[in-house]
Amino acid sequence: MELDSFAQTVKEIEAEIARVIVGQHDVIRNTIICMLAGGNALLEGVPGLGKTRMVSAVGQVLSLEFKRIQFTPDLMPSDIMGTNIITEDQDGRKFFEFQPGPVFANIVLADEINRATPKTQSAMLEAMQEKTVTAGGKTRNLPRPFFVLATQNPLEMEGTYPLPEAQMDRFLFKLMVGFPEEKELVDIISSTTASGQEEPRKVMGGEQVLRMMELAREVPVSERVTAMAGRMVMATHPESTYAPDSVKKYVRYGVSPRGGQALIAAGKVRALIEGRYNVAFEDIEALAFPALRHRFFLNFEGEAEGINPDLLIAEIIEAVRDKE
Amino acid sequence: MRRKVDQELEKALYSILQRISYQHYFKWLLRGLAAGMLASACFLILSRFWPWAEVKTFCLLGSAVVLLLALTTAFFKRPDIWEAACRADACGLKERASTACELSGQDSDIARRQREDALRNLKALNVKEKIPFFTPIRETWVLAGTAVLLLLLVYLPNPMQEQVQKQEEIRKEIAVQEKKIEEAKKGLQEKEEKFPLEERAELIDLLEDLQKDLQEADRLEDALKALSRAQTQIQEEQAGGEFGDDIQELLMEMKENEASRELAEKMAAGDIEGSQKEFNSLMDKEGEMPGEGAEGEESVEEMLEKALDQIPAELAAALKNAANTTQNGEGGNGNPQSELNSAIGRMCSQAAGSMDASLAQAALQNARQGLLAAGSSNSSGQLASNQGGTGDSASGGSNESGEGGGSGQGTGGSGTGNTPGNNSGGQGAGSGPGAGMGSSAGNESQTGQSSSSFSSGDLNSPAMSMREYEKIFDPARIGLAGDASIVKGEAGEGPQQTFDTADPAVVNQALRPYQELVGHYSQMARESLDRSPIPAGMADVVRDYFSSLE
Repeated sequence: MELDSFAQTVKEIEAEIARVIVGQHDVIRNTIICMLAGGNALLEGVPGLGKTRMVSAVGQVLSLEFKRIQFTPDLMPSDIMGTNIITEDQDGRKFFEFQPGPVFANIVLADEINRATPKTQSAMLEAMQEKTVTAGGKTRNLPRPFFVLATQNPLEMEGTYPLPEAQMDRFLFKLMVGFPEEKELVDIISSTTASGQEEPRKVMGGEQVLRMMELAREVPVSERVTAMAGRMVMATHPESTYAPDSVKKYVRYGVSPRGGQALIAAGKVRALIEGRYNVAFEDIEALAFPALRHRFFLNFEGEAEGINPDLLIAEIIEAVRDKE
Repeated sequence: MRRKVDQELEKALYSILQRISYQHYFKWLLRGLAAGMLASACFLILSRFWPWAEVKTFCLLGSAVVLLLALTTAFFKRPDIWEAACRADACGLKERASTACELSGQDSDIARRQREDALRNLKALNVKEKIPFFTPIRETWVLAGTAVLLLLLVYLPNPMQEQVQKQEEIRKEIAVQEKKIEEAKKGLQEKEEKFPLEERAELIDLLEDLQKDLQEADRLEDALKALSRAQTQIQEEQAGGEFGDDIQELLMEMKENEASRELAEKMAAGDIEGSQKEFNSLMDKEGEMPGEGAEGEESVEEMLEKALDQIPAELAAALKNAANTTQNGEGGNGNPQSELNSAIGRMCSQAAGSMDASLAQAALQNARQGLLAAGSSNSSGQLASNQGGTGDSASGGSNESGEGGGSGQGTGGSGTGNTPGNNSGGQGAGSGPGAGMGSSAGNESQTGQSSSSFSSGDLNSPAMSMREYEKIFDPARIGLAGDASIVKGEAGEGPQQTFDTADPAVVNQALRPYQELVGHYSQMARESLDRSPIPAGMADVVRDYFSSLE
């Protein structure tokens, strides 16, 4: 895998996923960007939009081990992480053996993550951030590459446990899976109800994914672009001079430094996909929505008025662009 | 911060740099012009609050300086290669150029690829199309606004214009008078080359100093002050002479006599040797033709008798001794010829010095009057126009004192009378006010008077501020020779009569500075009050009166 073929490979991946997922190009593109930037993605959308299918397809295309965990209120942390169980050896001696949970995979689909209890949700924290699992006093590395792709349903909020801020911040992207267009809907219906459904082909393996991640990290970023990312993060804080009026009015606390890191890391991948060897302002602006929208802490007024963070981000982009 | 970039990249960015540099300098040119015009507008606004004659010069200079500053600032803030890269990025290069600049010097694979990508895109960039040359809107509007403001200020009438014009006139007049003083000085220098005299050299130095003062003087007050100072110095030097002020009268009388005219002229010119020879020649002639004076003219003997009465005893004795020796062949005390020559030499020096001083005084007086006229012309009406005239004497040379021509009010002129047909220049001196010619015609109902006053017109005029430096007649000195003539005429009475009077200002030194005179009289009044038994209430009245004058 070399720089020249980076963009082409990504396009091939997208093309293979598109064989089983109709539409949702931005979601697919951003999911790939998130994965190649080494992050985890939270996909939010109503049921039946193909979130799980898409994640599964990604696993197939990348030839990565894929596991799905359906989060329910009674799901325990050990159900995810794994646990020590008593086994016997050939001599009949008993000992504890660690039985890995479903988190030990390259791609973990945490389906409807907001249905599990906070205790279980927080069990994912270490895995998502450190790529390790600690059980029985022993820390174990997760396989590389490791991605968590979580989904949540914004409608059925009853009996759910909204993800705490700390855990939300660990997702690199929050992707909104929208309802398909009419034509796309017709295609979905047609393709899923016919016999002999298409399966995506393998494009690359885990090693190549790691190499692509490594290449992406080498992409240079101009001081101006880094400064712009910094200003954008600053602008999400109501007390900042960069903050637009809407942020001052509706935001209680702005984006953490992880937001800036997410912008630059994802920007590098996007630049390579776009055929550039440097990050541009437009990368930062394009990725600001998925990278920042879940990191805002709205105040009471913002919550009460149901302020969409995307609107705030659009104003922040305008404000920062004026200062450039 | 200036960045060092790869040569190839710099070359690729050069056309963009050139383009934005032109734009940058154009913007600063507009800014400089606007700021310059604004500075000019400020100067013009200020010139509406007080008279400022050089405001236009300051406007031009101020604008030029501001423009120069703007262009200098533009030079120091000129765009560099980094700004050119940023500008290229803004034209669709998507931060390729600025990133390439930052990566200059790095040789990693990604850095090399990035630079190549940037160069490829830079070469494909159509600079003229992407970076069009435009007129900065904000600067243009500001420039237009300041231009309108400036035009308004230029074309709207300035309330201070009248005063400015007056200042201009005063300056011009100072220059004119300075030139006249220069001429007088040159005349003295020419004489000095022929007949060097210590007094004359001092006088020339004094005039040079005065010229410098006048050149530096911006205000009427300064010029008058300098003139006053110079006049006082000349007067002091004149007063310190061995033979007193009568030497001039003696010369005048000698000039009236044809036989002694040449002697008088040589004495006036400071030709000591010539005077001595002429005197000896005169004495020889007198010995040969005793009592052969023309009818109606004084004989040389009579003239000498008069001179002996007028000159100090020492000189008189020397002259008598010399006369006796010459006529009778009897010896006197010492070497009579040598003593006589020495006395004539001293007399000659003083006569020439006195004449020179008179000429200088006349020039200064003219200058003073000219300046005062310029200073009060706009506010105090017409000042007598007969100041500063040079009166040519009649061929008979009887009118040595200048005529302050014109009847009616006004200051008397001064002048030098040149006797025609005489190369040595019989110079009659007479200057100053009061030496006017009063005339009255019987068929006119007017009063002609020769006044000594400079103060014509409105007393509240700005000319009054110069009062301290004006000179006025000291009443104590009037009544000697050169009284002011007051000639009254009534309609329908008698024939026209004309009177010439001597010049009291020069002859009697009747002109004294106002402050000095008032101080003198005030002192006298105080002393009188102390000595005389005057009621206390009245003493206060006197004191108050002099206090108000001071």
